[in-house]
Amino acid sequence: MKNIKFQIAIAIVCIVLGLMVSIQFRTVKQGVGPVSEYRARELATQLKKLKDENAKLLNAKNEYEAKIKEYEDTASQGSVSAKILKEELDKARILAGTEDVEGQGITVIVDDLKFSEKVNYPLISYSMLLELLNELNAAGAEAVSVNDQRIISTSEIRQVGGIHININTVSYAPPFVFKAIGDPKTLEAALRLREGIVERFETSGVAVTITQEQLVKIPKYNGVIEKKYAKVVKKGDAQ
Amino acid sequence: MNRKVYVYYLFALALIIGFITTVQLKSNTTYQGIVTIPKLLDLQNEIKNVEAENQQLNESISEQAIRLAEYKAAVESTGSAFGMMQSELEKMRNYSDYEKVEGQGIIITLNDSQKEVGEGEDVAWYLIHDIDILEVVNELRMAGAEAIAINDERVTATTSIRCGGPTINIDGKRHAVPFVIKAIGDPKALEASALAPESYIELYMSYSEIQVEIQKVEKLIIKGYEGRNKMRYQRKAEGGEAK
Repeated sequence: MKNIKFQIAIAIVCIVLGLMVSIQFRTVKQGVGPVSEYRARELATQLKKLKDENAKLLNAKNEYEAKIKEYEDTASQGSVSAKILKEELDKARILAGTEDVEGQGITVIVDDLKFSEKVNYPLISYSMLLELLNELNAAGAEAVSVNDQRIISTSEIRQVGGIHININTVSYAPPFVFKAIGDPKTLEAALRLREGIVERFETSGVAVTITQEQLVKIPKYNGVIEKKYAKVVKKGDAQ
Repeated sequence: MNRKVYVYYLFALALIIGFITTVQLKSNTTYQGIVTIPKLLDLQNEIKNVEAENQQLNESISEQAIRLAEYKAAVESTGSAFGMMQSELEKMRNYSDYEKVEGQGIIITLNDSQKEVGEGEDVAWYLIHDIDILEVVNELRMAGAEAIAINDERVTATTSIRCGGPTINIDGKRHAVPFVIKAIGDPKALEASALAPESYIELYMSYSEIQVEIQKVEKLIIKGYEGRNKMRYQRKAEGGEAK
């Protein structure tokens, strides 16, 4: 009699325990287990497809541009005035940021190496990137790109939640790689000023690496520049 | 005697099961939880990025296609692309901020705060700094401003705004308060972004009572850029992609 009671008690405990364990396993597995592996694979294929498309689109764009340049080159061989016009046009394109450019300059890598190791809030904010860009400009940078996004006069830098920052509406996580064309020595010295921007970044736990380069390549702006509201005032027009 | 052995059995069994379960659960969560979720998020983010880039490219391609067609038509009708190149040059000069432009937009006037400096407070809190103007300009760009000038100094891609004692240097030229920021673009969108509760003006400037005046304007004129030569170090990249 006593024995039976004891056995029943054990059986009940076993059943409850078994249920609890299986439920626990289930929830844990559903959250991140095989389901997420499947999802990851799905996302990876999607990403690959998009990247292939991206390459195709870039090719198509370059082809169009090459054809347009062909027309321009033919025209510029025709007459001296057309040749001068073509030179002016190339220059204007460089200044507008719609042409790949190169020259001496520096690369600045801004990274939050200590992120997730020691702190778990974003170390790099958009305003730090704004300031860095401003410092580069003050030091005479002629063309700047951040993570290969060319900075043009309408480029914005926006925080989009967490550690992600939008540059030209494309979002990036650290590291942020700045490339700037200009006098390499002046550019680096300006950033490394005492109590300057590099010092301030480093005290807040952000790592900055600066390299002076003989040849920096900065890609052109890949989006569409819109001027719906700003119309050019012709020289002859009254004020 | 028999019962005692039975109890020991049970005890050993419970111990083993308990051990196995905890090990299993632990390895399960650490492995999948910490490694996979951030990886998934990274993937998702990258997908979003490439999608955004592709959309940009698509828009850009249709623009180029129209341009190419125009070039073709010009060559066929006039025998040369000269005319097209002229209008292209004007457009590029507009894009590079070298042209005087006009259009609708807004004027934001900023002036130092008149608020009395309390005890233990720094007067610097009530003054306008370079970073304030940088932030306001950045927000105007987000709201789609097409041309911006501060105190009639055209803001380009490489404009610097820096404090220099009591004044602020814009591209190396000294300016003092009030700062008049003109921006051409959709006046409604520009005004809405400046007045939004999460905007820099509302969040930071209203606290220190920096004087802000926002005005929509039907016709604004903004001068072209007249600053330094920006072609001393950079040149057109010859051949190959810059990527």
